[in-house]
Amino acid sequence: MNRWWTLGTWALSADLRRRTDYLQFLLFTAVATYLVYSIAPAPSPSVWLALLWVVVLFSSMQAAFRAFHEPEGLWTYLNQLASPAELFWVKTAQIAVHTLLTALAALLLFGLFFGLPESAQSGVAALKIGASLGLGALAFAATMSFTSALASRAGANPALMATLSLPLLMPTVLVARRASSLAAANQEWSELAIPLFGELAMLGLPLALGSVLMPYLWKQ
Amino acid sequence: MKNGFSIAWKTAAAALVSYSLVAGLMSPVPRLFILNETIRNLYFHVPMWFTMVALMGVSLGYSIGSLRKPGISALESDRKARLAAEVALVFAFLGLFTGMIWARFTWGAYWTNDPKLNGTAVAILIYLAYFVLRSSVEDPEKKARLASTYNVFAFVLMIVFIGVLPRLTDSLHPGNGGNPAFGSYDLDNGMRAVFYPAVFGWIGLGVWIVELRDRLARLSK
Repeated sequence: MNRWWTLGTWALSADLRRRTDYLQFLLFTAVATYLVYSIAPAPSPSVWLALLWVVVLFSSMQAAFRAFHEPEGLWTYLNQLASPAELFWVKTAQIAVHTLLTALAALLLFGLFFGLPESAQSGVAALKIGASLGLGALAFAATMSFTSALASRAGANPALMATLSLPLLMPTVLVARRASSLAAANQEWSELAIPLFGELAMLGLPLALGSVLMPYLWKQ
Repeated sequence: MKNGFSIAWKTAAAALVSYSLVAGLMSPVPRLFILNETIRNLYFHVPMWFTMVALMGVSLGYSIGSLRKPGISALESDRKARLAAEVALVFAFLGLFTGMIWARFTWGAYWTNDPKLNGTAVAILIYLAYFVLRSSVEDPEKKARLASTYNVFAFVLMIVFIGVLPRLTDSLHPGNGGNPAFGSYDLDNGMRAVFYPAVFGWIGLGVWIVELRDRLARLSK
């Protein structure tokens, strides 16, 4: 328990220390949203969702890349404190917070600039969009946590992070887009259940695989 | 004894592929609306994908072996995983091209926004990323370890993407979205007699190519 507390406070203090980095990501989200708005001010609901996911994906990928970007000495200390799988879980939680914040910021900015799609203006529909977006963002975090660790071990190249992540994130993107399309159309929860379950599966699968593979990846 | 078995399966693979090439073009096929003679593509396109998945499975097996073994053995397993992935990628491109030609004559376009097609394109991208990862690391042991972990992670997600997701969504592709495939009315017993030998023959040929490339790699060291 003490170990988890130490890891959690370390992750939080690292985030606070690098808060200007995260302000940059939020600024990136705002600039990307404004750019999209200036090019296509009145998109159809499906284009609205597609653009939202593109902005969330690229903004959160930048945040995830920094997650495993720590000095080697710090890793030596952390490796004595926790197992690689535990480090993976803490880093995934850290990335999940970033992706959720990014998704929330993107949703608010899209609501501000474009407004919500007509069918999604009730409170229940907004809740459904929030659920699909939140689960999708968490699923992104699980996959990106693993690819971020891999990229950091291979020399911390941001282009490599994107090369490894984008193909692996495609299943999540497609499932999440389907879930959010149904949510934006204010479909019944029973209709939404399968894609939401798909998003949960795309969250659980990389988490399970990452937990098993992380000790091999992290071995010196 | 081992040598005899090796000769037997390689001869069988060559014979099955030769038979499927000739019978695939010459044997009678059912006359189906729209499909017409394009149904013969089943003998060429589908075995490419089966071979690709089988070889990616071989690559996965060697990657798991590489993670579990120490030192030189890990590097040897990783080399075999790489070679299997390379040959699998060739079969993936062959499957993609044969599918595109078929799509042009039945769907009217070389490429459509279909989940199955997108899945296969992403599967190819995943394995291209595997090679990019390999080329970005210099140290052989580190390269083997990183590439093997990525291979295991990527294979599972790829199988979900090409095997599970298209079945949950609407797709034009046979075998998906309620469309008939080779298990249903459009594959009679005459076609099965060509299709299954083609699948086993091409898989055998793929494994043989991997084995030959591995021998070549060992000789060139």
